[in-house]
Amino acid sequence: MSSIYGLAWRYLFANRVRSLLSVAAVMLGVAVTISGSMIAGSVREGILRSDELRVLLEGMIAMLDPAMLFIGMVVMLAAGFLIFNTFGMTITRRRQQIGGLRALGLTRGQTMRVILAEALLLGVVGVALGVIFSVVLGQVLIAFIKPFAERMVAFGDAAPELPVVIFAAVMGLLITLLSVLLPARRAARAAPLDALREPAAAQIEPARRGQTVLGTLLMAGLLAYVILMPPGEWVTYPLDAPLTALVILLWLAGVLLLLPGVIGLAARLGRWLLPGATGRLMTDNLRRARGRVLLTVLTLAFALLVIIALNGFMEFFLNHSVGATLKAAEQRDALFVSRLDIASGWGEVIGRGLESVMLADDELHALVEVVEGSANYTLNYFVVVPELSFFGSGYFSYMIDPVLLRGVGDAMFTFSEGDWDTALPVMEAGCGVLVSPAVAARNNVGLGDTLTVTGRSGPLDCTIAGLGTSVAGATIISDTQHDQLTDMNPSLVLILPRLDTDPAELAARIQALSADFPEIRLTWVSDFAVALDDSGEIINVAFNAMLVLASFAAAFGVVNTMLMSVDERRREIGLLRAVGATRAQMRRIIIGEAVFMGVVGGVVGLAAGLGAVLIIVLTYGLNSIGLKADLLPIALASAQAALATGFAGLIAAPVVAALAAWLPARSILRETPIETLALT
Amino acid sequence: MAVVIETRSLRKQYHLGDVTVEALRGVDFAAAQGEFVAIMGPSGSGKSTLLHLLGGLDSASGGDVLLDGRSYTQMSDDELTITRRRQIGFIFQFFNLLPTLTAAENVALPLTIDGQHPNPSHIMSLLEQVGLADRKDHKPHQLSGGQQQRVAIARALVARPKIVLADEPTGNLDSQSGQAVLDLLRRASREQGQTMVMVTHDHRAAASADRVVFLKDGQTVNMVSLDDTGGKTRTQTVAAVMTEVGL
Repeated sequence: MSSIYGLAWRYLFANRVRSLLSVAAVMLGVAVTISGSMIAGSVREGILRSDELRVLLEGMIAMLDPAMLFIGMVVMLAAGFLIFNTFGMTITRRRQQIGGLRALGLTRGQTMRVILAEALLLGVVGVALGVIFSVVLGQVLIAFIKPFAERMVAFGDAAPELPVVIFAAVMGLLITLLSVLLPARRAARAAPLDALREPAAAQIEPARRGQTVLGTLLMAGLLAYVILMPPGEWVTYPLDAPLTALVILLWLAGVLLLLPGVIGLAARLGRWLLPGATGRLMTDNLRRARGRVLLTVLTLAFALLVIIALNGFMEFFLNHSVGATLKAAEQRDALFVSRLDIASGWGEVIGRGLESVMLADDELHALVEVVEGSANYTLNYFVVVPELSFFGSGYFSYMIDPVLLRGVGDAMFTFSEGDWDTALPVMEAGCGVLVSPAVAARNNVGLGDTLTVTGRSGPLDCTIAGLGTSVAGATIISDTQHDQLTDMNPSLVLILPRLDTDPAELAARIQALSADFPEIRLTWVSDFAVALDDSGEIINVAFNAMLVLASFAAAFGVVNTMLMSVDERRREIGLLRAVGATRAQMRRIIIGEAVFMGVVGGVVGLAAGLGAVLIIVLTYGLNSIGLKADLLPIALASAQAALATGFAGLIAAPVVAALAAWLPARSILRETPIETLALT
Repeated sequence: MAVVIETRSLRKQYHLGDVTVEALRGVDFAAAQGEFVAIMGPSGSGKSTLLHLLGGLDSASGGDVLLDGRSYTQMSDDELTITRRRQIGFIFQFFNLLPTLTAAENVALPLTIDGQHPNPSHIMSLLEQVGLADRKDHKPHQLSGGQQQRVAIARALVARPKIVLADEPTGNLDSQSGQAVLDLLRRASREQGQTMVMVTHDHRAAASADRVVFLKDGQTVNMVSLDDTGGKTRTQTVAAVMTEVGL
């Protein structure tokens, strides 16, 4: 051993299981962050091959990147918790060794450096393995998602992006070092004599009643507030997202405050439900080392909460928010003709460019001839005007002839401010736009105001002709300044059969055109709604696949907690074996304790997750896309949609916890009682 | 008196890296019902190892232990555990009480592990015998070392075991508390007919026993009965034998 850092290396090597757990945690965190970005990148790559599809799905893609990054960060935090636990345990076990070294003259600084060197070594190995593993993981996840996703999304090349790799590596190392800082400080600050003494056994700690009451009041107050006075009824862009984030943060703070009390209550309930020595000892252990039990339960609960909240939000977004904008057209048997065969997938037009989805002159003429007199219709040009984009800056807007638009009416647009009588003259006189309240708020304009937007050959002044909801949230621009916005033909014709027309018969006549024009496709709006739903399902599948990995990190955390818990109670376990507890009884105590943590984590995660869905829907609301609706039934329906996932999580959490506890239980119960007692 | 526990050519080896340590080299030992036996010897003589093997806490490398004629080597792990639970009481040097349980709950532990509902009057009578009836609801950290050891003694006696094994039970106590503990053990062996086997390195503690067995280098080197000490005090007798065997 040439320097004090040799101590670090030797200790890591001597405690290989713990070192491997830490490396695995960092590796998983880094790999999930990078592979999440690979999936988003691959989907983006597939879509970018077609400009038309890019504008159509810009919103989805805009959501994908931060969501994947968020999930990667959740895994990173779980990894941080694991490393914190591992080093906490390492320091506890080495208390006397560190005391001895301090007595021999190791300074506080040297102690800190040895422990930080250990962490750095683990971090570097974990990050390196994580980067390598991410390539495999990314490909495996894409292969897993593909069967669900290929109807809607084509996958391009998947390769790790350098900035993301650097970000993940830096975060991995940073979280490792930060996780170790506290235990290292504790070890370095302990007086040598204190460290040399036998540590006292942990006692049952009573829950802080004030904290429990505060948490209960906070959560009950938040729920009562959003249910009785939903902020979603008045809030609009740009306040909607920050306000939702604030309320969710308060909700999470409430969960954190309440959780120790819930654990204490559950332990007492468990003691009543499980009389006898094993039940008693098992539940008593949950009320000791509260910090560690709390962190474990919190990890499980938080993983489940995030899964439920994402599922509930997707339900809200697809079926009650943007998806609901299709309802008016759907109810009136609307259909559209384009070159996009949405029902059978985007795949075939990908790679052929924008021209391939633009309807040709002869196709348009033939189509208009068929529908004229039987239906109202609009010729929809897809244009990208950054100022009018619903999501980000690249979402499409429709450019439509105002007179034709009036013919289809609320199948295309529903007013929340203004009406057709005032809007039409404005739209016919120049560039008039019908926008969602979110777009108006972002540009700080209201009804009748002028908004300067980016045209093809320079700025273009447009007047806000109305505020409300359009199909898929896109802005509608009058086509009076056609050349300023596009030089292409329409890409979609929306057709609304008249009351005296049989929609099926009209559809058959349009279908007959395919003999002369094989490129055109007819799609019912109701089919498009299903396709949109499917696209949301893909994102859900991707999220859930990533969250399964987050659960793995949580499971590592439980393994580690149980290792630590068993390690600290070695003497007690040895004593119980000595006075006659069988291996099976001890296994029941150790695994039962983990199952109990899993059940509490699952129940809290389920309840807090469902609450989070209600809070998101009732706080975010629908104002930003111009919809008016009673939010509570929508919130309940969104929560209900996440219920199945929640129940799956509720069952999975104790199973994961039990599997995680099996390893430490097996390890300690292989020893004879005297080995267990002697190793304390 | 009938033999309760005996060993036959008991051997125990430990492997420390490449080195094999012979902790016991073929020990033959026996204790009769109601007998109080002390085992003495220097550090590393194998006295604690012998006690652990008598209690079935560790497995022998050779030979056998028989409790009431039943061989440990013929028992499964569960059978041995249940034997420990019902027929053997343990007292350790470091008290070893469970910190989350009260004194009364610690005493009752072997019975609750056995699925029994301990009779509160039985637990109270044991606590009274060890002088801790007024401390029954105290947790271990609220008790002194001597009090904790007395709780451990009550726990060792609660299942009315055939044999009680005590490993340096007075090693961590002041002389007054230590004497109280020895008196308790003696009384239990006399009044309840329980066999006591106590490991100690203190000749004054050993003097409380009926018989003292001396171990050295993993072998029995001497044995002395304290029933008739020929005019010497029991302590003097033990000290004399210690000198004789070079302890």
